[in-house]
Amino acid sequence: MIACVIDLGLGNISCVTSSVKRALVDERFSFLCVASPNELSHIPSHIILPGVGTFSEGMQRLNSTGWSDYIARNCIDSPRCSLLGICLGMQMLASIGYEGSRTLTGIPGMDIIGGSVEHLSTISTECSIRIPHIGWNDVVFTSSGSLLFEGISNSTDFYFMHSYAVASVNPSYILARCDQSTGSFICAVNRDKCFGVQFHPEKSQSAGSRMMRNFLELC
Amino acid sequence: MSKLESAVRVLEAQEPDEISILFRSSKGNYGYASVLQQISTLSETLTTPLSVGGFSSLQGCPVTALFNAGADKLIVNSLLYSDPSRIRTIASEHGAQSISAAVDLELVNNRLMARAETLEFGIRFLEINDWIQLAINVGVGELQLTSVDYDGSLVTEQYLEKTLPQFVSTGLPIVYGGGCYSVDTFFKAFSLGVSGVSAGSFFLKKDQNLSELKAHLYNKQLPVRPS
Repeated sequence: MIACVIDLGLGNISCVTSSVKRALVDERFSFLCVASPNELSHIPSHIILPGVGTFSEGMQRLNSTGWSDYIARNCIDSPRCSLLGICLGMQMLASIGYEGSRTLTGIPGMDIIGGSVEHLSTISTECSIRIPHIGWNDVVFTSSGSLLFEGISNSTDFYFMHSYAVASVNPSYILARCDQSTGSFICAVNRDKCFGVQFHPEKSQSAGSRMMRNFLELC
Repeated sequence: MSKLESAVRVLEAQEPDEISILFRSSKGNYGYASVLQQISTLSETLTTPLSVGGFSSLQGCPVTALFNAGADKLIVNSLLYSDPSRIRTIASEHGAQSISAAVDLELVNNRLMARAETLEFGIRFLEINDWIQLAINVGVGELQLTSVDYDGSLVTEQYLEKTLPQFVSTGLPIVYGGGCYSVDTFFKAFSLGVSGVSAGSFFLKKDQNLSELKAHLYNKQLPVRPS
């Protein structure tokens, strides 16, 4: 089995790679961190897509390196590997994003989970979260039994650092929300073998480490 | 293991919400190669958010490399005045949440002012609201305030009550630090609406325990993350 971290040059790569390596307890696993799918000689069993930055920059790099096509072929069309998008990586699973876009029509995403990427202030006008949303917050499961959160209690805190989030996603894809008393936003999604989390598991101490291990144990 | 790494491990074991490191050198600016190496080493095992700062200049500093090495936030103070366009560029490229602007507040003729110090202009004092607007205009995502006069000492409630609301009203995340002498200071700051409280000497020199602090705050019905 191969765990592959995609390096788009969008920050935070060393923490994510360290987190994945620590979670690889199975000796059958090998680890790769690559910038382009051309560097892969085999299809990985698990792909981790981290990202910190703007949606437009992220999609531009994902498209120009060939990763968006690779992920579509191997994670959606004929799913042979599991995908975990982290923060911007999760946002790029959406159909369209408006961060860093100069046009009202927005920037197309990978269109895996549908929906759009919007500023937090427009998602929940009553939300009491200060923006940027920086810090620890409750992750409330909307469906029970997701293997991604096995062994993790409902409403466990994870670390967030963002100003945008996905919205209008097919409800059947929503795994968890970050709930405030006056509003909430989607913070975890899943469609088939594709997962996305808005928070940073690599910075969420024991809960994040457990979640990463759960993802790598998915077949 | 270096002293820095040792101190970070001790703190991380107590599960803080974030660790901040200010790299300062008595000779002026810290060597960035050394900073990157230390951050990289820490990031191999660190699972806690990390903020770094203390740089008097970003000239020759590969900021992207800082984030790639494992820093989540860059804390800027004098850079806000000496290199605002650079700060604006960083916030634009890496997101507002990547920059935290720190201000030292000092009593001048009995009025709290924002202290601005650069090699070029020396020391100047700004009205607090003017400093806040400067920070917002360059696009930072978080504000931190410390007190030159009360750093490490008992902080008067009058000071907190006067100052913190100005920052909290911006709608940005606010971190209060530099003056946390007792548990009550933490409680007062949170009661006035800050998002976080930063402390160093309180934990490292006074041998206070984060778990006990959180228990105290929890008992006062503040929503703290359990250790």
